[in-house]
This record gives sequence, structure tokens and C-alpha cells, in this order.
Amino acid sequence: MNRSFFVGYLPIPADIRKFVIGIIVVLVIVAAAVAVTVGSNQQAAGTGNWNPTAQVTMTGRLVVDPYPILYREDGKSVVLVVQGKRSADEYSMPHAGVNVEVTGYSIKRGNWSMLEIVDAESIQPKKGTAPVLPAVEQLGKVSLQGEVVDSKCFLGVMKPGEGKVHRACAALCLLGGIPPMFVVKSADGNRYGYVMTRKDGSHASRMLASMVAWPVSVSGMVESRGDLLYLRMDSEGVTPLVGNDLLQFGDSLAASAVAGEFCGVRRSAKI
Amino acid sequence: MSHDYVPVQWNRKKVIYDISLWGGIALYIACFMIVSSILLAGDEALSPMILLIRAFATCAFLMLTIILCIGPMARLDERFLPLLYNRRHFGVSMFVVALTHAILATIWYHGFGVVSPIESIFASPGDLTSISNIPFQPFGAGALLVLLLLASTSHDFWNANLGPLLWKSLHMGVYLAYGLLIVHVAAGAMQEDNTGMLPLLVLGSVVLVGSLHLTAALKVRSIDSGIAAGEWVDVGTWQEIENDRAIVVTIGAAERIAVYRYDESRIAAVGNVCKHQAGPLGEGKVIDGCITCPWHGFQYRPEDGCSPPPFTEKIPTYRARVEGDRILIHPTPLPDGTPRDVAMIGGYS
Repeated sequence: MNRSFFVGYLPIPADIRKFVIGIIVVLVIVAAAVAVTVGSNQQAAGTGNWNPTAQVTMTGRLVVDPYPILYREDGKSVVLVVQGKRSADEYSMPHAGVNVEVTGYSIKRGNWSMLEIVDAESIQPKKGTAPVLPAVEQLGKVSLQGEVVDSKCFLGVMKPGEGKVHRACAALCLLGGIPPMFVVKSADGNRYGYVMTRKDGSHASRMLASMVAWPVSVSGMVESRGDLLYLRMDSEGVTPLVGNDLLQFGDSLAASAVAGEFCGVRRSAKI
Repeated sequence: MSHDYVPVQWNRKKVIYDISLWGGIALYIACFMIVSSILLAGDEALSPMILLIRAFATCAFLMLTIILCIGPMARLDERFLPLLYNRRHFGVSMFVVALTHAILATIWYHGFGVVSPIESIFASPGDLTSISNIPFQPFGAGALLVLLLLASTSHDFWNANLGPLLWKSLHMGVYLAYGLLIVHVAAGAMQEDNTGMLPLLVLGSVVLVGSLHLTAALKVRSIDSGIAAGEWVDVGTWQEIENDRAIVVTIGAAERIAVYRYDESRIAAVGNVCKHQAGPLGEGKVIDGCITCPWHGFQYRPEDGCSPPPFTEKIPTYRARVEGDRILIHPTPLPDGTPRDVAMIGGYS
């Protein structure tokens, strides 16, 4: 028997040529099949939306403490951030408490709205009476399990904008001052978000940078300001879940019945 | 058989190989992007950049799996040798795909922040207390560095200057890169995958690569086994060896020996390791009177282990004799390129 033998610099034997053509066809089919299979088995990442192609303009009262938020006449709250992984603190400070016109790129998820501004020129003073700020309503103390996320990515700039793969990005965002959100899943299956602050109501972004995108528990006071829910953390902040809490986390991001009650009261915080 | 150094010694086969390879890569990326964009559209759509990052990541992993399978498949069935012939281009292409994934991921996840992207990669939150805490980025960066080293030393210039054995040892680092990538995926994307698709992909890759290597190793070992150390060792009958082909034997702890039968009645034993890329000479064939390496066609004369002029490579030779049907080999290697009598099969008909 004289089997065919392939040598690179010699003409390829006919039977080996036929075999190789078959292998190439098989490999192409395998590549396409893997691509289609993996591509079609990706998890949805929510309905967040970021439109970086068309700017929109909004008017309202600008509040900067603890985070830059525009309170509009229609009662809508719009969180402000800057392009990249930075807060809008610097550009917002000169306009604290006054009526302004803000231009930027819209970010939306559920009932949450955000505006990504470009520079200081994106915020202009606007004549007229500023809307009255919503009253702060104390809703009570809660203990929740969930995930700290950076609000900008989670609301639509990155999809998905949560979880371990996104953790380093989220940490960068919080180090840059992007407002942190606490995301929980309620017993009704819906997910709700809270703007997180320290116990004294101040900025908590940098403090939470090392705990972002972990399954954690947190206790604190929930308060509402217009259509947003705020979570004032107790002084110990957030605590990583361990043991059974961690194992069961995937099934019940949610939380205590108390949390569900508050979530039910404030549907506007749904995401 | 040797050559001068040029960036790439293009020939028609290599052009077809590379066109097929990059056509496959383009097809993979296109299929992934199109399917992902159709199934999750509108408000549900994932970020296009994240889709690209995932497409290049999974493509690179699939390519690395195929690369690791080519070697044992060629050993088990030599009709796969054409895939091995240009495997270095496959490796460098895979590195380019992996590098694209790394660049996109670094820009997207680690860029635009208040610390540098590189610092962000290596300061990713986490610790080593559990698999769920391990930051996955450093493992990916480590794998990319290994692949960079392999890609940048893949040229024959490095092979010749480092020597085939050191070069080969260096390029065994591909298994280190593979291991690092598995940790990279297991500590990262796999932990978020509730579909089970990524664990299936990784497990399938490991099982395929592992089983092929084991099968190929067992095939060689079965030839190696049962031979005791000593002077003039019986390695079998000449009828077991197909004309112009060889069997590979190991005597004691010595190097593998390729025992060739050619011209129907001649027996010659030489070292099994090619001087080019340490290819298995005993899996080659005698062509035009020369032992021809199955990997890239480097040639050696069976009579003295020297490449035919003007080439200068030399391999060790071994003394052999035939008694009746039995082939006896003296296991002490002669210096590279040493002529010795070729054994003749007595009464061959």
C-alpha cells in the first residue's frame, strides 16, 4: 500500500485535496454554527436606551446635593452625568438651585431618566420661575439584598451594565462620581432602583466603588423625592452576601416584605 | 531542506490557507453580530460594542481550540497534515483576533475613567478568596502576553536562533495561554451566563482537546512500550514497517528513534526529532530517497542523517541490523550526520 503523503512544497495528492476541502467545509459550518448558537443564547439586558446621536433639551430646577438632578415642571426627575465616566458635579455647581436649560443625550430605562451633557455650555440659566422641589417623604427603614450599580451604565449606556464582567467599569464610574444605584428585584418580579447616599444624605459614589457589582445587603432609610426613591445607608454601608444568602441570591434578588411594600408604593422607581 | 529568511514564504497553498482562515473569521463575526442583532433588537438590543467584544472573544477561543486539535489530529490521521503545514498563520491570526477583543474590552470597560485603562485592568475589584471573587481581567491579560510572545517568535528566524528544542518548549506555552483563558472565562463571563452556553462551550473545548491529546499520546506510547534497555535491542519485524515509512521506538530513557524501511529491503534508524521545528520524523515518509518530515517537508538522507546539499541540517543516526525477520537497533546515538551501514533485509523477495 502506498498511502498519499502531503508535503507543502509538492503538489497536493488528489485524495488529500478532496479530504482537506471536506475539512474546510466542516470547519466553516462549525464556525457558523457556534457563532449562531452562542449569539442566540445571550441574555437580555433590560430596556435601557442611550441615544448618542441626537441631543435633547430640558428645563427645570437644578439640584446638586447629593447628585446633579434636574427637577422638571412636569414632576420628572432627570439625573445629569457627563460624557465618559465622570459626574456632572463640576458643570452643575454654578447653577445650583436655579432654573436652567440643559442639553444632552438622553438615557432612559423604565421610569428613570438621565441626561448626558457634553461640557459647561450644556447647562444654561433659564429665565422664569424654577419648579418647586418635591417634598421629601420618609418611608421607613428597610433591609435589602441586591446589587450596587453605576446608574449611567445600568440605565442604558452599557447593555448589560451590571454584573461581574461590568464590575471594573462600574468601579471606574463610581470613582468618577456617577450616582450609585441600588437595584433589587421585588417579590412581584419587577426590579426597582434606589439612589444611594450616605447616612447623612451625602454623595456615596466613591465610597461604594469597591463594592459595586457584588451581591450585597444593605440597611437604611428609604425616602422619596418626587419620582425617585433614595436609600440612606446605615453607617456600616453595604455588606457582601455570604453562605446561603449568596447561594440563594440569584433566585431572590429581592428582598424583605418591607422592601416589597415600599417598591409597591413607589412604582415610579421601577426599572 | 532549509531556506533563507523572508517575512513569509508565500506559495499558493499558504494563500489559499489564509484566505480560508480569514474568510472563516469574517463569517463567524458576521453570523454572531447578525444573529445577536436580530434576536435582541429595539430597546432590548445589547450594546454593539459589547457584541463585538463577545464575538471576537468567542471566535478567538474557538480558533485556539482548533489550533490545539490540529497537532493530535495530524498524528492520528496524516490527511490532516495540510492544516498543520501553515498552523503558525492560524496562531498569529488567532492572536490578532484575541488582541482585537482585548483592545475593544479595554477601551469599553476600562477607558474614559479617572484612572488609566491599564491600572484599571490590574486593579479590578476582587480577591482570591473564591472563584466568584477572582478578578478575571489579569488572567486574560496574562494569556494575551503569552500569545504575543508566541506570535512574535513564530518566525523561522527565532526557530533557528533559539534552536528547535528551545523554540518548541517556548511554544508549548500555548497550553499555558489556554489554561489562563479558561480561568479568564470561568471567573468572568461564565459566572453571568444563565443560559449554560458558555460552560458548555468551554467544557466541550476542554474535553475535545484533552481526549484528542490523550488518544494521540496513547498511540505513540503503545509503540514505545515493551522495549527494554540494553545493547542491540529487538524492535520488531521488518514486515511491520510499510515501505518508505517508519515505526517510532523508545529504548529505555533514550530519545525516540525512527526506524525506516525504504527501497523495500533497507532499514535505517535515525533520531525522531526534525531540526526545523522538532517535528516527528518517524511519522514522515521517504520521498526521492530522503526521509521527509511530515510537518514542513525538511529532508534527511537515511544513510547519514544529513540534509541533501545545499542544505546543512543533520540529525543523529543509529546502527541497525536485521536477523531473520527481526530488526535490531543499537540504542547509542551516533553524532549528528554520521554515516553507518544501512541494514539489508536478507532474502527479501
